[in-house]
Amino acid sequence: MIALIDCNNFYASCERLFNPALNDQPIAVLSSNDGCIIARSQEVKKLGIPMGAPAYKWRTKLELKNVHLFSANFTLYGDMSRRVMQIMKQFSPDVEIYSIDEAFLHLETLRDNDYYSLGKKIKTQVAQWTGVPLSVGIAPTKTLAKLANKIAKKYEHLGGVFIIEDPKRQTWLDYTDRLEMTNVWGIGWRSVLTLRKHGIYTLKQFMNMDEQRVRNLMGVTGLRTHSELHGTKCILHEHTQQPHKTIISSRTFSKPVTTLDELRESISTFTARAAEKLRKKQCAASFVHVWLKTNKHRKDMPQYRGYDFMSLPLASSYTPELIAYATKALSRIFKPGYHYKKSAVMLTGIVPQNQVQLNLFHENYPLAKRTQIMHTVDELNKQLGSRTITFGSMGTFQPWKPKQELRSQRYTTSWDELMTIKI
Amino acid sequence: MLSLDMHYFQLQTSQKVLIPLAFNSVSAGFPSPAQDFLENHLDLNEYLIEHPTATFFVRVQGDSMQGDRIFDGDLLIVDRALEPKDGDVIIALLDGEFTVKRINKNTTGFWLVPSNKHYRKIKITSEMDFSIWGVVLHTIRSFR
Repeated sequence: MIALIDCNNFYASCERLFNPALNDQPIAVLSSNDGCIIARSQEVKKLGIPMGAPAYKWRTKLELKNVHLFSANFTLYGDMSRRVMQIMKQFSPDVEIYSIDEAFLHLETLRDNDYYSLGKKIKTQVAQWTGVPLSVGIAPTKTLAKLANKIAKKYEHLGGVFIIEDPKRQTWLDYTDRLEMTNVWGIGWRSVLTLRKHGIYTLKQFMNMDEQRVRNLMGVTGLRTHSELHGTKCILHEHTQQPHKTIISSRTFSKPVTTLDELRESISTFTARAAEKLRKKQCAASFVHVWLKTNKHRKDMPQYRGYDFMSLPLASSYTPELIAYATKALSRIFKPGYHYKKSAVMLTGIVPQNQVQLNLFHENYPLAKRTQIMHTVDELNKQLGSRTITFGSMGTFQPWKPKQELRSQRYTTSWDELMTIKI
Repeated sequence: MLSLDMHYFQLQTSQKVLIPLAFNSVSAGFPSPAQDFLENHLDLNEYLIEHPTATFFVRVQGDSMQGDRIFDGDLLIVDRALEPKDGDVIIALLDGEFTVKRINKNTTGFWLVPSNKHYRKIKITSEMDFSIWGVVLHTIRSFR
């Protein structure tokens, strides 16, 4: 059996743990630059404010209904997620982390088949240990487990846990009467439209469709979903993560940037960040791509998008070298007179570091020394806090950095930002 | 087969284990008498923290717990995984506000007890919104 664990309103729940006065208050979390709503508590969902809503557009309603706004505190959310996932490992030797707040647990057969109690146990323990509420769906396939989780979330009387033991005894289908078909993993709005065109409006009807017909209308992925709903495992286990083919680092600027110096700061910072990710995977990159964009929403301002890339003779993860190439690309595409809104750096041609062969032309390349330098930098940043050691070209003031004016404290990762209690 | 009272333990392979080197090479001719008794270094994390995923650090301000040697500015190590016992120092959530007190059970009910004569103990009643956020295990106070 497979369990799908999904935290309820994860970001909002993290904020509430250290600020319990907000437990029944409407909370929304904003994306970088405090732009769009990326998380809503149950109360905000009920107010009809949609996911992704731009904060400034909805500010009247947000103010009227006293919605508490927070800038995304990913440091906190990341740490809380790590804790939740670590607890999951007590319940299964095979935990597949799917997103920041979701994981599949591959369960061994339970002696007395009491999966409901197991689900309750997981829910209770995580709530007690971390304060994070979650829902549990357990079923023989991933697609069904995900659906079971949605059912558990929708019907409060189920206690946050729902089990689909025997998919063939389709009693669980009754619970899907009031669920949109898009709640099924693998069925998106496009599929729904296609199905509707062919007279399929409900999940029950979809389940009863002939396999060939499903394949004709929705392709092999649709058939996979259909089979999984019938209890046949079709979706592969993500045992090993494929090495990422690209690493991107980018941010929108909090205010328009016009000078090459400021752009160089941002490009250097993004390159350094991307290079850190590269080294974490023990890889090196052969290509550095750079983008510049103006604000496409400002139709009154001149628009420009620049792009260029540089190829390295030898794949590298040495930050100063990558910054040098990124800066070169930047100087090629920079045009004065524009108000830039965003810049981005992408690394491609990613290969494992140990596959980088020094050949005759690179005899003098100080690979060992550079590897040692970066290792030292990474270790110091890890131990003393990120940005302990940065590279000069990144700038110290960085006025273009995204705003996070409403960010709560990093209660679990920063000694200076611990929760303080008056006793 | 899994049963509900079982759970899996993960081997913590990521933590650094300080393995003492045999610092005397035998070529010197005289092996160290301490050789066979070498043990691991002392690790504060191991000593102080039983449930890392449920442990949080909190600072306190105020003097209501001075009798328990909890002083203004102290760092508290709080464990949410432990079942609170009578007499534990806990972080309580009372009507939406945090406080740190000892929890005591007697014939009249549950009480939140300070350790400073200028403060009164509080009886927990059914009208109150009360819950226990965590159990305080240790305080850390620095002299420098």
